[in-house]
Amino acid sequence: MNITTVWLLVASVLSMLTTVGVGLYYMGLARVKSVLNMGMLMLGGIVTTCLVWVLWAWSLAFGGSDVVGVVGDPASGFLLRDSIALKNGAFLSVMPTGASYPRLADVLFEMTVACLAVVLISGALAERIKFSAWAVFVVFWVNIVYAPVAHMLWSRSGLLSATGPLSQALGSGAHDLAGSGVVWLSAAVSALAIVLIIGRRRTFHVTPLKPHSLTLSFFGVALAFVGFMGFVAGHVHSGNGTAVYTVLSMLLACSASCWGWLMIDRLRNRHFTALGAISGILSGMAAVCAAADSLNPLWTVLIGFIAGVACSSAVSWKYRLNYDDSFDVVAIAGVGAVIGLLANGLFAQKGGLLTGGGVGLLVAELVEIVVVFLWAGVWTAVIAFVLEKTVGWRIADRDEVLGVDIADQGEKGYDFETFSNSVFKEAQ
Amino acid sequence: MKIVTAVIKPECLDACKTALAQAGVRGMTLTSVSGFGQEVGHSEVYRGARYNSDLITRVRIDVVSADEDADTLVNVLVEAAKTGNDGDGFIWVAPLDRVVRINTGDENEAAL
Repeated sequence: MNITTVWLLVASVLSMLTTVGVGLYYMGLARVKSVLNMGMLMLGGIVTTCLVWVLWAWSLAFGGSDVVGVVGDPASGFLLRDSIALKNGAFLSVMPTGASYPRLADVLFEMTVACLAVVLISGALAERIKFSAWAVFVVFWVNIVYAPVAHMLWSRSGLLSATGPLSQALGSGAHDLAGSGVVWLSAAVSALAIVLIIGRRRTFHVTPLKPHSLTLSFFGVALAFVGFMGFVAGHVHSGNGTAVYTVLSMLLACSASCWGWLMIDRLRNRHFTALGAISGILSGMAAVCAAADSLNPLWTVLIGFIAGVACSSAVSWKYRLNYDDSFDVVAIAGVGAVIGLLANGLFAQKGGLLTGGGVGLLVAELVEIVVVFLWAGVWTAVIAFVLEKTVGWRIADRDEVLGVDIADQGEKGYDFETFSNSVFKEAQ
Repeated sequence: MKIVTAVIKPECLDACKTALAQAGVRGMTLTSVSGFGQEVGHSEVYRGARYNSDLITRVRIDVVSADEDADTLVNVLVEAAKTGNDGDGFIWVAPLDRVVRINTGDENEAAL
């Protein structure tokens, strides 16, 4: 038995829990007539990503020989070819020479990480898109945006990894332990690209678009918070002290960011709000990913607090700049991620600018931010634009009034009518 | 026949039902309604957006009564539903042409 395998298995489960929790949080923020659509974006995102991942996205991200450090070879890992072996009629994992854990554990864990990135995007697209368009989008996004970005940052030969070509030119690799850039920033930038193309909800900034169930959202973030302990620590790929440290970092950062957001809430709105608390937790999650293992506890708390304060101020951008980022993916995931990445460059115990390590790491982090921004932004815009012109993202205007659940799925999330206004038509 | 309609605060509902029962009323219809008057709603804040809701929740009681009992019922309801603050509610009395109990077919006073 390999203890690291067991740990990665547990981390994968917790990581999937995070994704589900984020999905539930989005469901609670939607209105009554759109709740099931948000659920479908979450579940559809997860299941589509899992299928695509096993087919060739794993290979693009981490497999075989790569293309210029940007993307791996899709054929080498097709259908887990490079990861599985048969013994006595049961499949087991290939153990790469010199590795401390089998490859399949990596496939699984990275798949759950990809699922989180996909589901994060869906929060910006609430109440107005077709499920079919989303499913097609996910297929293309995971392959064209997520896998290359993951490859560039996390694969051994990736451009910006510790030993990659760009890192060697810069003098330092971009350290993104759990994916502030790969997961949160890429999701945020992609979300922004899509919302700029598909447009605002009909009644955005006109009629109230209030959360229908903060209870559900609270529950979702509670699950995500617990699951995230496994998400962050799993990236260490080892059941050692560093893994434990990352969990503590995550809890410190999220606690501080929760308080940061609550403070702003109290100052601006005279209340400590539940929505503020859970939003604060999420912004801390985005920020801590980059440097959960490399910042000392004091800086971790400080960065968490700054993330909570900054993200809570950033939520008003969508009203000022008039784009409908429905559930503040850009403000929370994007701003939080940037803060986390820059914090690593500035405060990393080894290599941070303000801890005597020179400017190399900071430059590498800035390059990472720019690379993720450009790669995710441009490619997502292309995918979204092509989808808009072919399949079409949005439901019809009058369907939006009716509600996307009824219009796109023919279902109601809640049926509290005391008298039924439906008539049984036929059994199929 | 008259219909006495009262729009009252939800927390006064129990007191009103008890008082009406003591006044001899054996049936009423309750509806959940929203409205505003002297008291207006509050504001809610959700992450960067402040919403004003001017509607507040109230309960509507409809009681059918004989012509001569309407005034008594109004007094009973005023007494039971009054808190002395803004937003206590409103009562109105309207004439009814005809009342029928579905179960027995009794009409007007006999149906009460």
